[in-house]
Amino acid sequence: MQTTVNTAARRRKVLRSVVKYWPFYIMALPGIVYLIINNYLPLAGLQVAFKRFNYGKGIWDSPWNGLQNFEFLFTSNNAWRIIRNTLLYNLAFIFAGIVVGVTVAIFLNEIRQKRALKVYQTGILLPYLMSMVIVSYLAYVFLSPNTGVVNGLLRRLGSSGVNWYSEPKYWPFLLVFIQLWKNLGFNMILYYSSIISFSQDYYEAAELDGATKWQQIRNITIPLLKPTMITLMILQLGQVFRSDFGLFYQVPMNQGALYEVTDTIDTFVYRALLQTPNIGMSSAAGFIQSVVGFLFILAANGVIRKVSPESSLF
Amino acid sequence: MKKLASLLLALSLIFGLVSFSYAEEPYEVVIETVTFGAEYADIPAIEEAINAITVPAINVSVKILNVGIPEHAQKISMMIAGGEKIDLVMAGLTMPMVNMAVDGMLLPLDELLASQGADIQALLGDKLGAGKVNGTLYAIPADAYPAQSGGFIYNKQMADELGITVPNPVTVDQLAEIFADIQAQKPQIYGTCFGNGETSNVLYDYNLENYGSAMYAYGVTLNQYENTDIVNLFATEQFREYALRHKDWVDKGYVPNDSMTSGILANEYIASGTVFGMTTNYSPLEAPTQQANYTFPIGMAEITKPVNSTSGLQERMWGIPVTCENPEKAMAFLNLMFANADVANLLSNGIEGLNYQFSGEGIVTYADGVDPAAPGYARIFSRFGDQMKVYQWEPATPEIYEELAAFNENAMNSLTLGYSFNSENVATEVAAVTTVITQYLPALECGMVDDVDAAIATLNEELEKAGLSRIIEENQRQLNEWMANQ
Repeated sequence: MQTTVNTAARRRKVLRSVVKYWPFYIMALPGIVYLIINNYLPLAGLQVAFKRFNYGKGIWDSPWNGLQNFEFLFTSNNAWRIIRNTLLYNLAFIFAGIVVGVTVAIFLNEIRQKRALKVYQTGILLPYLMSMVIVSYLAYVFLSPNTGVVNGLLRRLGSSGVNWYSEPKYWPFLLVFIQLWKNLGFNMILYYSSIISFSQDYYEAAELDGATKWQQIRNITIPLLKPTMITLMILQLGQVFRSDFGLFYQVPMNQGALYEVTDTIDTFVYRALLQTPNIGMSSAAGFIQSVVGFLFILAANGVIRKVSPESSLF
Repeated sequence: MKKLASLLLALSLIFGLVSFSYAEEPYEVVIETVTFGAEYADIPAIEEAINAITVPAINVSVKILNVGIPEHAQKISMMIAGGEKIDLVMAGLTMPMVNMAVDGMLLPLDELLASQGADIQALLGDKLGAGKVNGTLYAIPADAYPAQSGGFIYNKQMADELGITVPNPVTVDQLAEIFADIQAQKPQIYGTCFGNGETSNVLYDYNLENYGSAMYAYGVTLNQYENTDIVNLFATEQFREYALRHKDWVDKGYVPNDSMTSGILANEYIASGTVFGMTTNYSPLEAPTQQANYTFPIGMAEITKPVNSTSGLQERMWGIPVTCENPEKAMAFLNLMFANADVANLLSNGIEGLNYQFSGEGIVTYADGVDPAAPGYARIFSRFGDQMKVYQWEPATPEIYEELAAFNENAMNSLTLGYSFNSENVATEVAAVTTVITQYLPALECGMVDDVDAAIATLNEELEKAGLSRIIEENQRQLNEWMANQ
């Protein structure tokens, strides 16, 4: 009895709020419709991953073929390699992105001269706006075996130079460095914009009490930045099974000798299906990436909810 | 009386209108031309000129869809999946015809060909077999003269300056001697270049049938004009010889050693004058076509024997997508294009006086005032109509038609001509094998491995794990079945 009353009461409450705030619901409508059309309706297309897709029959009428589309990802002995590379690189990118992004944002915040600040900001952001193809050739300027800047220097120093594009051992470092260099600007801006919104009162009070710069950073800035860091980390964890195709395909110039450390799920799928495009198989790869990304978000959020409930996303 | 007259007039007008609206509107056939993606301003004028022929003849009007080759595969599959209007697609160029057929993109054509394609049947005859998948016709070969051999294209001007003659036909050993000669005379010039290794040139050095897989993922048949055994190319003595030769040439400095990463293509090295020549497709039409890419005269020599093969025919084929509203009209237009020289020439070369002018019998060059760098129309990758009726461009000479006919007549037929492999049952293995080949082949292709035998052994080991033998087994089974039905 009590529950029915409660439900009825709640329902009435919801209805009343809708009536009361209807202009807001109308305002939200375009966004909601967009979300449904763009993000929810295409979910029906996930079935392609389990079908033998036929253009004549379309998505709904193509015959089912179980998990056959997923086999090519796992039957090869490359499965371990591509999953390991994709996961480890992304974790490295997330970790390095947070550490370096926060550090640079704090440094920028300490720059008092307006013009210098603008120059640094632009300089750091510029690579973010570049296409990966251009980045790959910038890297080539440095790493080209015959005419590269690095080998030129090494030869001056009496070494015979390194054949960068056939030596896998350097690439984990190179890829993390290039990714960081390219994306630092964007990460940094997010942190920097949070930092400048912090109230100056904390810092003034700390200074009155004789806190050093380092103490201010450690005890005021970083704790206040924590929610931003956690939100960004959770969002990036959702992408942990995806990789920046340009970074892993263009920058190492698609060299077979480097696949051991540069091959990720996206580049593998691209090469596997380059000759015989197969919608079912590529959807299967995308399906796994989405599901694993979703699980990572849930897991990360779950852990954070346990550790510091107020920072979790949901 | 006056009333009656006006009534009659009104009635006749109405009937006139009614009967006029009953006359069938011409069906618009959308046909694609595959290009580098540049815009062509003269396409509307060309469409109009074609319509002047096709509307009275078969009540079809034509719309030319210009598709750049980098986006071709994706654009066409999206158009078909989305039901956008397209009536004639070029299969094989960027997507294997067999895959398009088994993925349900193409309509079966047997009945349409019987009812609308008399001229196509007369022209192509047995060659139509290459358009069949599991006994059903899905595509029409776009080129009736598809014989090809492997050859060598070179800088003729440089050869003359250095006093070098490239015999025709030429062997790879003779090429090596020529490269050594060039190195002795001009150490800064390379004999040849292997590009980035992502496309393999084995088939220019040896006669082989690859069953439509450019990476040899379906197995190959060597000397396909006298043999039907399908084997793993990478385990053959020929491939070992090929890889060792390339490494030898790299070691001797005949080849730029950074071509895998420099991003400079082999033809760009040749155009810039730093490389003498490269292996490529050979046919009488090839030299005039390739000449357009170079500012100096080029020469060509044959390496392998000319062969008519399924994979040659399947490089360019016309297909009718399942979404086509009026397949009869599409086939009727295709038939007219093969039969009617004017339609074929309008699609191939544009309009006389506007796009081209005659410089010899059946030979054309740019019309006055056309900027060769930005012409109003150009055919790049597609083929339209009967190549014997299509005007060829300078530097071709009027003899080219005889040469083309003779070349095709002398070409041997592959024993598998008309057979195509359907890889549907081994799709997983094909995907896995392809990744293995793309990992190991480019370095072997470019002679960039220290130990060729060890690299080949690793490649074959990985291929075995990825299931190449199952693909070859399936291919051989289908081939045997096909031969039994011949």
